Amino acid sequence: MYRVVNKPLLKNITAWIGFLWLAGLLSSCSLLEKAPEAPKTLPDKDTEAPKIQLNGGDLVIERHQYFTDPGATATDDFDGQVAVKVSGKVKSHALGSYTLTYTATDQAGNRAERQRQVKIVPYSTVPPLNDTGIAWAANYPQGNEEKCRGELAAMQDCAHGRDGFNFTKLDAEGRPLPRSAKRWSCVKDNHTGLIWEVKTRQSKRAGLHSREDQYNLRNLIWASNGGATGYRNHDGHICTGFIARKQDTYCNTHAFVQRVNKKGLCGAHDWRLPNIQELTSLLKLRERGAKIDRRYFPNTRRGGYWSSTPVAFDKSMNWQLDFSNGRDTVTARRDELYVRLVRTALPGGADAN
Amino acid sequence: MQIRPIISVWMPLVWAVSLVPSVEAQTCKHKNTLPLTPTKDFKSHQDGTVTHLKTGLMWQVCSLGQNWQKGKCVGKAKAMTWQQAMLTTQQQNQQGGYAGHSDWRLPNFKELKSIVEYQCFDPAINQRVFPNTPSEYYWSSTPDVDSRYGAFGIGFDRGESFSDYRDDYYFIRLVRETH
Repeated sequence: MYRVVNKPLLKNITAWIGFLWLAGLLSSCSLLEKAPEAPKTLPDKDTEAPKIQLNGGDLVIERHQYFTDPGATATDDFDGQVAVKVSGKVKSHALGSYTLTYTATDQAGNRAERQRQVKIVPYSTVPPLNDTGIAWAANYPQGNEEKCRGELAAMQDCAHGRDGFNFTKLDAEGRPLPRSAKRWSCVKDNHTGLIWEVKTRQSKRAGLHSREDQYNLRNLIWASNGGATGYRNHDGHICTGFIARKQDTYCNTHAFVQRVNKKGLCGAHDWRLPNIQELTSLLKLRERGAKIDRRYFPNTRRGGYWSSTPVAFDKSMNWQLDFSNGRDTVTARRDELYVRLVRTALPGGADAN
Repeated sequence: MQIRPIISVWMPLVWAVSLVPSVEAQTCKHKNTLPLTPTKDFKSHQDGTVTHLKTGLMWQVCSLGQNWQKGKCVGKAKAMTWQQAMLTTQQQNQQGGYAGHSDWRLPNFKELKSIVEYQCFDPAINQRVFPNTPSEYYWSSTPDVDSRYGAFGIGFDRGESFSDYRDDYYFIRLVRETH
């Protein structure tokens, strides 16, 4: 009993000491920093406009994707945080260039303005084809070779098509990392030009990308949802951060994509659900066990991953892919499935590296 | 180890049904599903072949057994074992080829899947590009690592993949690389 009562108290005290110490350190640091500037105090009158900081720069979004404005923040030398107003409209169903204008005005009436260009480009269909991973031949009617040899080998998968995958690990800002990197946030497929979300281990700090998170399928865009929007909150707390009655925390694919695009991942704000062809590009059918390259995609779970592709013969379903056995199947949108987001690397753009 | 015994149980039934001349029309959801194989992504060579501009693959418009006549495929497509599929292809290449090319082959799993049109079913293919395609199962050249007997294919009735015994009978559509 004694220990049970005392422990949290002790913890609290240490936490408080730590907090005070940190606060002291921080304030002394900022004092030190400010010291040389001391003579330059704020002018008596606020004549400077607030500074607007855009989350993400210009955007290129695929047609028929739900557009989420990553937003902007503004700070003023007198007023601190200032509200930002957005004007302009993005029609994600029509190709073209759109301008969003962000304005912020401080209490003295100084006005700042910044713009963001949003370009709507054609949606992705079939990516350049990847290897299947098969490097050995099969015999008829049974038996498999170790290598690409045997009676029918010359006509088989192992003798044709691409051989091998070409991946690059990317850091949290989207910069390329060496193959040996221990931590990475995204993977670029150099052949298909697709950039993939990498899942993290489940932990209190896992954030948006925990490998355990699951979602119901939801798509609000009528041109691409097969005739039904799916489910907003069928299963409740199946992903990190779920809060009842707070829609933007719900565990559906639409809300998840919005969350990632607001926050940004690997320097990008144009993440989306992959179509079934894109998801298939990651399949590696070479060996028993996981049908994906686990050196680049660790934390892949057994079970289905959602594709954005609706099922033509049943509007309550979408296509899914299970990387534990390589099978694609149709699944009800109310089911709980994993998600691996994708975006398209833009030639010549920020992704050229 | 075991490869979907269900398929082998009901496939004979499917064959039995398919013997009855079918006039079933294709269904496509043009309005609210985006096509992944729009006609503009293909270049027709007007000789029974098309090139898929997204993948660079050249496809035979008709299934093996059918004949290409003025933009249509006439005759009956032939079902064959995985071995027969490869031997027949080899033979065709050795005896003059098709449309001036003699490097045709069975598509691998990803190649075969790349021409599934998920917007449609019965069959799940763009019929403007691949007319008169039967709503049948097709072989790929990709063997199934999880089985000593299996190889992968795609059901073009609804677009789903399958793995089945190599000595079962399915249809084939040939492909070649253009680069």
